Amino acid sequence: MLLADDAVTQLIHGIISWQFLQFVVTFLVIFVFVLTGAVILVLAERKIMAWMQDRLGPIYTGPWGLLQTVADMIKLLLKEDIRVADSDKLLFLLSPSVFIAPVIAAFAVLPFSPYISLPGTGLATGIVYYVAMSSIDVVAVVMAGYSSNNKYSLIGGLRAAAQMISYELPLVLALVGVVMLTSVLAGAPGYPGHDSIGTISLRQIIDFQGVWHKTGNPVLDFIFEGNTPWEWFILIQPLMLVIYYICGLAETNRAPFDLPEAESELVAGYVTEYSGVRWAMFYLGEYGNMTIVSAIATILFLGGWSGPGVAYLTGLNVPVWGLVGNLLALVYFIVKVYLLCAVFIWVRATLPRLRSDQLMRFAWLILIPITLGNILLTGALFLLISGLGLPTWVFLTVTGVINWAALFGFIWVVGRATVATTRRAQAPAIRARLRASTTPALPLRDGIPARVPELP
Amino acid sequence: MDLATLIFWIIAVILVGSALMVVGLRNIVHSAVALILLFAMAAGIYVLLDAEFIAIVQILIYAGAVTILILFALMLTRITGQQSRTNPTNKQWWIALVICTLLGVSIIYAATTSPHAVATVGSDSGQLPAGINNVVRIGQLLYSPTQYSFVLPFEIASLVLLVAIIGAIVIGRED
Repeated sequence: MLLADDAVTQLIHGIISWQFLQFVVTFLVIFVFVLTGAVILVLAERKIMAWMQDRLGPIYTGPWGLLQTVADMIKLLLKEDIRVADSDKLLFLLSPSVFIAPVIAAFAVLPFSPYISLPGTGLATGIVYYVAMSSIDVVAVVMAGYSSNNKYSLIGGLRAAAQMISYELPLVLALVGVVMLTSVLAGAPGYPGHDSIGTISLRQIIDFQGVWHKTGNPVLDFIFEGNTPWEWFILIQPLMLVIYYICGLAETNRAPFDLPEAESELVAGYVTEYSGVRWAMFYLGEYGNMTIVSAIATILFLGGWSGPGVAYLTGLNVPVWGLVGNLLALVYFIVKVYLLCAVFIWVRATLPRLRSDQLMRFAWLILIPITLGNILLTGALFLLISGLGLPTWVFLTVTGVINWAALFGFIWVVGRATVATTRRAQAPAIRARLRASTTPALPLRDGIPARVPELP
Repeated sequence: MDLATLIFWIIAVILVGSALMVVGLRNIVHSAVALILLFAMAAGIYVLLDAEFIAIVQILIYAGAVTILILFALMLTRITGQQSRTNPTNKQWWIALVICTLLGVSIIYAATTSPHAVATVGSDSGQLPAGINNVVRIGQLLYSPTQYSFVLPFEIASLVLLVAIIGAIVIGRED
């Protein structure tokens, strides 16, 4: 009893406090967001893809088909839980939980608004934490593929592991560009931090994109305090946002990187043998991952929760206006996140699946050299410009201009590479057809069709 | 007993249990999964020691990358027919037990009697200045061009790794 006493008093002191209230509010918001996010995104995906393909999408369940995914969820929860014979029972049952746990854990460092953020958002290692959590997903995929006792699952699991490991490198390297920018900006007037000490904390990176010197004019202050779109890192590093987004697509196994669950080859990849609740958990995890990738992109490149009125209202220190400001921040953040999720869906409806030879080439020969080059270029430009004694905004402008130019160069390179690899992959078949057409056709006999010339 | 001690004991028990599972389980894939659990629990110990950067890197590199490579290799070389007993064990487990016991006893003896024993109470002299957290300090120690840092050993280590990567590609190349 004496042993437990101390722990209990600590717990009670922790529970009766304003921090705990903040924790409960945030936890409920994030929990509801995660659980409903998948339902909303599935409906959005079906509707948006239907419009893009000139269909109607689900329209019968509920008004305008709004309740379709709710019905789907109920169906999934009530479905029989099938366990495959001769499967590896333990791993088979564990892997959905292992898949979804890091997804939920990653939400711990995502700040939703100035008040609605878990204590984890203060973590000094936010970006590294997010990357570590997304790397655990691979374990679950491999476990699911192995334990299903099914060759399609195994192939899907192996493909997913290879793909997720390869694309993790350019994903991290793309984020390094932003961290370098924060270390350049830190210590400048208005910016947080000490001289030349950057940050990898998500909360602080938002602060770096919303520096506004008060003018005293309430209208201007209301709109622009903490909301300065010309400071968002997308303007300085647009190419890194695009590369991060591409790697996010690959990490979440979404089209066009859905080789691990390619329907036409592997049935459903590593989820082939799952049904009911466990399958729903994989689905929830996939859409949760999508949300997290979009949220990280929002925080690092699009200013996070910033929008007109947020910092002004929360800075008034009046509870009511603080509440309004936080709700506004929440709305801005979620709108930005869902707009980026819509891009996921748009890409899925637009692009065909990559071939496996293109997949690895793209990561190792295009993405990694470009991201490494960006790090080198950013550092070299900073050395050059600060060596010449020019101010920071010159560096930012030059980096931004070069990066925008590189973005169009990247699109051109990707187009050329796609054409070239497709030609190379098709070359043997085209050659064979040419050879076949040059071999003389066999003469016709009465009533019997000619034999098709054999391909050499 | 405060909360941190309680959490430490929970983590420690799971850690030792999963370590025993790594060597004891019959199925080699189960052993690899237990290894992931072990690495995650070690990361928990690091968090309790206020070394959150090391903890996260531990998860990122060991649980997320190293064990994945192990699993990958295991699945590509699956022994067919005897799936249930794929973890090779032999008759020398008792020798290993003796050696492990000796090692454990000597570590405990050294840690409790050494004059360089780990401090049990945090001293204020080790505190970092305001605005400088663990991550910043690690970065300064590894890369700083102006202060005392380990830039040269770090660069040499990365060169060695590069040589290893190129060597692996040269050996593994099919031509």
